[in-house]
Amino acid sequence: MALAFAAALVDLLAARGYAAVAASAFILASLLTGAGPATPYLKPSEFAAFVAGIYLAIVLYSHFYMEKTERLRWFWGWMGLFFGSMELFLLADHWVLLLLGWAGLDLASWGLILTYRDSDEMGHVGDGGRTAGVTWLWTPSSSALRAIVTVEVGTASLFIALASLATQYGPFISGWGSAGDVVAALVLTAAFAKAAQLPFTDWLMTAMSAPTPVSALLHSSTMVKAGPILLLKVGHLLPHWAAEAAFVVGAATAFVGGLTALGQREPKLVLAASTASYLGVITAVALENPREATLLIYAHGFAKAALFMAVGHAIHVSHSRFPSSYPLVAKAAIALGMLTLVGVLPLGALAKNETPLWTVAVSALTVGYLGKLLRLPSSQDWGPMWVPYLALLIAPNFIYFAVPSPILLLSFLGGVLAFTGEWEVFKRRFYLPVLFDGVIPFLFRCGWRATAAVDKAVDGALQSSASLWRLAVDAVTVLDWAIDAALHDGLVSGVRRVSARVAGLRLDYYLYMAGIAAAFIIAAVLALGLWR
Amino acid sequence: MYSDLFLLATALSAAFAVAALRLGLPAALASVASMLLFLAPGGGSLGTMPYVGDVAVAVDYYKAPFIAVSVMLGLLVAIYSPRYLLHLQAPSWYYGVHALYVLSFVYVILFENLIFVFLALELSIITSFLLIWYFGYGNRRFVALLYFIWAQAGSILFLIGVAMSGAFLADVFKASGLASTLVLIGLLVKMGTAGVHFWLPYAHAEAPTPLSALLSPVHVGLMAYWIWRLKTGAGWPLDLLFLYGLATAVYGSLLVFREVDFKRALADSTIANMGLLVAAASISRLEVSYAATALLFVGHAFAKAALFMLAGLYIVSLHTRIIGEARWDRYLLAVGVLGFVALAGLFGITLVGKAYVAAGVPHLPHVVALAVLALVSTAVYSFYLFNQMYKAGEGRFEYPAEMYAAILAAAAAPYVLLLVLPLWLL
Repeated sequence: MALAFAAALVDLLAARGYAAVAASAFILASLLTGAGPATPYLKPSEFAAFVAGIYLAIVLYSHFYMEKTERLRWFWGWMGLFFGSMELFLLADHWVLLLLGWAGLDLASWGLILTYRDSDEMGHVGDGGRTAGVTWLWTPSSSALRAIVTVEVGTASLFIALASLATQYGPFISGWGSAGDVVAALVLTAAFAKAAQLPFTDWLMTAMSAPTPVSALLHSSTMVKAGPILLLKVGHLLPHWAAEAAFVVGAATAFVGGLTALGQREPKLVLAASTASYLGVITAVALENPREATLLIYAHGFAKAALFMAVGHAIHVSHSRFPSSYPLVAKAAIALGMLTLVGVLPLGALAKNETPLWTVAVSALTVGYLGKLLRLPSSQDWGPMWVPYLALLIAPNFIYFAVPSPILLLSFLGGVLAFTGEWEVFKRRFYLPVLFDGVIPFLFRCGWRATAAVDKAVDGALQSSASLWRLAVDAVTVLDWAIDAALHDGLVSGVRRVSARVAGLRLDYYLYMAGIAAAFIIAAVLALGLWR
Repeated sequence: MYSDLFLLATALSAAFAVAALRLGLPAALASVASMLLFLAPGGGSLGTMPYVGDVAVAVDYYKAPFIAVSVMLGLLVAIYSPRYLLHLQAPSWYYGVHALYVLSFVYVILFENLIFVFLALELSIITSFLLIWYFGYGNRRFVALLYFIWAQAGSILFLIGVAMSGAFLADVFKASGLASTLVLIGLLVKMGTAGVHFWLPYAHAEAPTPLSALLSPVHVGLMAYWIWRLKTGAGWPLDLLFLYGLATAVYGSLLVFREVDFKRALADSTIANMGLLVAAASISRLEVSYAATALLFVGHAFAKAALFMLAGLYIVSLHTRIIGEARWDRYLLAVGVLGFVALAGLFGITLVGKAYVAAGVPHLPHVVALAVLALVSTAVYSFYLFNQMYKAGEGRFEYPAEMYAAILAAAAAPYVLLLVLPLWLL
């Protein structure tokens, strides 16, 4: 783990991906030779070598694809963090480490989406059309913000779910017992957001602002795959209804994604929608049949990494997001990728022979949208960037062996879809962007504006109460003056006046008169007493 | 004897702080560096006073992160300050007040006697008030008075509550009814949580930026330690307090979106983070609560200080406070990423802090929904602000290397600390 993160730092400083190659090759070799974590905080994962292998192929490819791209420090630094975070997520048995890996994936994908500058057309997604109040054009910065905001809903949910389980059962995931309904709902939300399942699908489409090697990594073995892998890790703890919910959401996404892919003209968007679709299949079966889901993760991972790199080959050669032709070798890879996805080649057959029948319909859609790419003209380019992606398709199909079930061949009926046009509702991704770029931002704007208005009103009232304070101070001042005047002026001068008046009086005369009056009264009282 | 060490550290830091009034930065650095002496673990009594009782001081495992972060940021901000003070045309006595302000943070945590905690709070109010009054922006005297009145109200409510409780030592603090309520309200006013936050955006945004880089990250956050510490004896309704903290986090996050001013946006974000800290401090399990409080405090402090200092760098170099005008080169972009990501709690030590806050969420659907909203909103506003900065675009301009170095050190700290976190927890 330390090596993976250290390689990210080295590549960040050196602006070269050599450390990434060395680290992934070393980690892959170590894992293949049986090396495993020697700490209770980490547990072996069967996906660790798979991720390292795909990452190695993609970083080799990136050396060609990114050779004339700016911001290589940025690119390589985030790529290293992406890989390290995925491995940490896979191996973690301690809940906090798992969260670090999970959040590291969010962060790295956000950073990688920002690789191209906003002014660089290669980082744009969409045709610029305007539908339902939304402009169909996303720059890297808007794509990155969409991605992080959406996946953060899942990450926050996972924080609470894992923290809750850790509080109940202790910090190690392998020691956890069953989870309640609330925790299950949170885990499902986390998995759905990460795996771009409905209604969280659209961030994955605009994440295509990232360079193609990033898409290849993000869609095949990291980030989105963390969603179903999370379900595999903790699925046995969840109540039964969780499997049903995962099935409904997964199956719905599988078809929505497949149909969306049929309507796209940008090849990367075709593959992005395809990823949502296949992750839908994996999510749908993950809780009911974990082994099946594991095989699907492998098959889809190898195929999708190769498909992205093949499409990227055409983009690289044509310098356009809409290549009008594909190198022959890329088309061969697209064909092999398609055969793997629908389950005809050994790796795909191993994965799909046991899948439910409805997944054949998803495969038919796959033949339709990948068939559209295969129908485009061929070109000749034999630059070395084809080696990694072709290797990813050929090698695993030699390692595994399986004969496809005949029913899977029905998928080829979808070939007719390759000749259909771009239906508006599919092209507009079932208008999900209206939700994410129109409705939610509007509601959010209303929310913060209302909050700000209330805050301003109370703040204003408090500040205007300062005048009441001033009034109170004035009243106290007047009262104080009045008392002061009464005590120090009125009373003193009153006493002085009385005193002066008293001093001016002829007291001896008054005393004489008072004495006579008193004597008269006494004499009268005595006379009355004697008379009675 | 810890009390002797305390007196020595106090004498040194106070003497250097006084010297800094005339000598400026070197003496201020010596003063703040002397405060590292306080970190030696131990405890003791400085004496006994009538009515107030034992004037106890202590540093332990629980206090150390709060003190260490205060001192480290005090040093970083001092290193950052010279060019900024040149911009403000501030005299050298600024540094002396800065050092005393940092000393007040140390005292706020160090004292075990709550009456002395109040006195430390007074020192922090007076020093920060002076700096806003003389060197603030906008209607600085109005803002300084506003800050002073609110801060005093908070401190005095705390003091009255403590006085009514009759138990002045934190270890034996026991309060109920009005006394307990007053202590809580006093601490919340000083933190600037929803409803008692109206002073915060003014004070933190209009303060001179080196002060903002301590006021917002450290000063208000230290109150969370006392909420955590006193909650057992105070008998506060912790479930309600947890909800209030989460609601404050959402409220503060929403306020961020109204701002175009870099510093005001960061000030509003402090309200949100204080909400998370209140939630963290009010988790009923003490150890989980402590981990959440300390980790969030440390992560937020470094990230927020880095971002305030970055805002200050733009004020000095580009003469703008508008975040949408904050152009960047790769170095500034790097600290922007480090700072905003740590503030969001998506990586670094703040992520672990958020994870521990999540551990306090009860299994009630409405609380879970509020908690998800709080965790999401506190992350989203950070990325929104980063996006505003990012969209300003690249630009080449000169900025002081020492300012950048201080920002980078603060911005990188939440990630470096993530590496050493296991050592601390063990």
